[in-house]
Amino acid sequence: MAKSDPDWQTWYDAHAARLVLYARQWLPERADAEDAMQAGFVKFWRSRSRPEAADLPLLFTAVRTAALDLAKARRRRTGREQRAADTAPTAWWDGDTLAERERADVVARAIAALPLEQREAIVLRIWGGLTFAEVARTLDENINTVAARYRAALTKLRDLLPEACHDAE
Amino acid sequence: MTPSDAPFDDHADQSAQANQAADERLSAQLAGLRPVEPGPGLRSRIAAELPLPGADSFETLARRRRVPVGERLAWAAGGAVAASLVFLLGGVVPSGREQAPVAAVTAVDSVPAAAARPSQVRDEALSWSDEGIRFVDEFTPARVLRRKVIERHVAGDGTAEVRVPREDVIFLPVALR
Repeated sequence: MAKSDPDWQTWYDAHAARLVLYARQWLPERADAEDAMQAGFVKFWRSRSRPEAADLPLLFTAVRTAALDLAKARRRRTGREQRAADTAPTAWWDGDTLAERERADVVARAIAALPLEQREAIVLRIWGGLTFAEVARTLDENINTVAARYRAALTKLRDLLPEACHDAE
Repeated sequence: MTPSDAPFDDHADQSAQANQAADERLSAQLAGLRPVEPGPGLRSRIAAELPLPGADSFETLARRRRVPVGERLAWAAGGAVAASLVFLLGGVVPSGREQAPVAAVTAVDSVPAAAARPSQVRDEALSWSDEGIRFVDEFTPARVLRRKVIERHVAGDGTAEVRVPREDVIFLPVALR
């Protein structure tokens, strides 16, 4: 392997937090989401020894698949009661101040209230840093469908979030 | 477009533009939220499963050093034939330590000089396995590799070869960030 090849640690530093956030759309518990991220990341890296930036959607897809598998296993194990408890997300975003953390909590609850396909579109686009084309590739969907879901999600969030969240600096 | 449509379309355009501006403001606000960083253990767990940066993957190493089955069988058969020849040509089949004849001591003196030269030893790696990262002690992580090797001892005169299997355990120091 040439020394100029990207190593997995570089990719980890750049994408770990956003991948865990993405996995939390199915696995609200942070530890579960990290397990899924680990499984997806390792599988992706083993399948592509020299990944390029264009492969990023495949990394998200790998984590998505791992998260879905783990969520399925968890559901079998824990049952409906636990699922109800899981709908209240624990901290998805960091905040330096109490006000920022409270705002993050409000946003997390609003996003958790969105339909899953809209949530995926908005998480991948905003925090995943993917283009609409890359989001479409990750989800194996049409780019227009993805863009429509993203806009619908923003419209709903404008209704769900207090005005203070729209305009906070 | 008829003139009567114009006010309606203008209104629709303005509304769409206002929505788009509001969407952009909201998405910019949301983008300002930083996803929570994963726990420190996650990197270590991934490190235990993936090759270290700059190192060849051990699957690659194993592939590179893998000897075809046919070649391995040929070497094994050759070794067996060579060992048989040594016994047959020597004409002595050892029957136990207690019964070794005293004359054997004098036979050592008559071994040709070429055969008395030290044998050459060559390692033939059969396989590598990577057992991941383990802590040697509380603060010292190391990657543990296991290598299976056949030692080929060839007599100085080349008339005999002995193959000895061996397993090496290698600890490579690693740094976990």
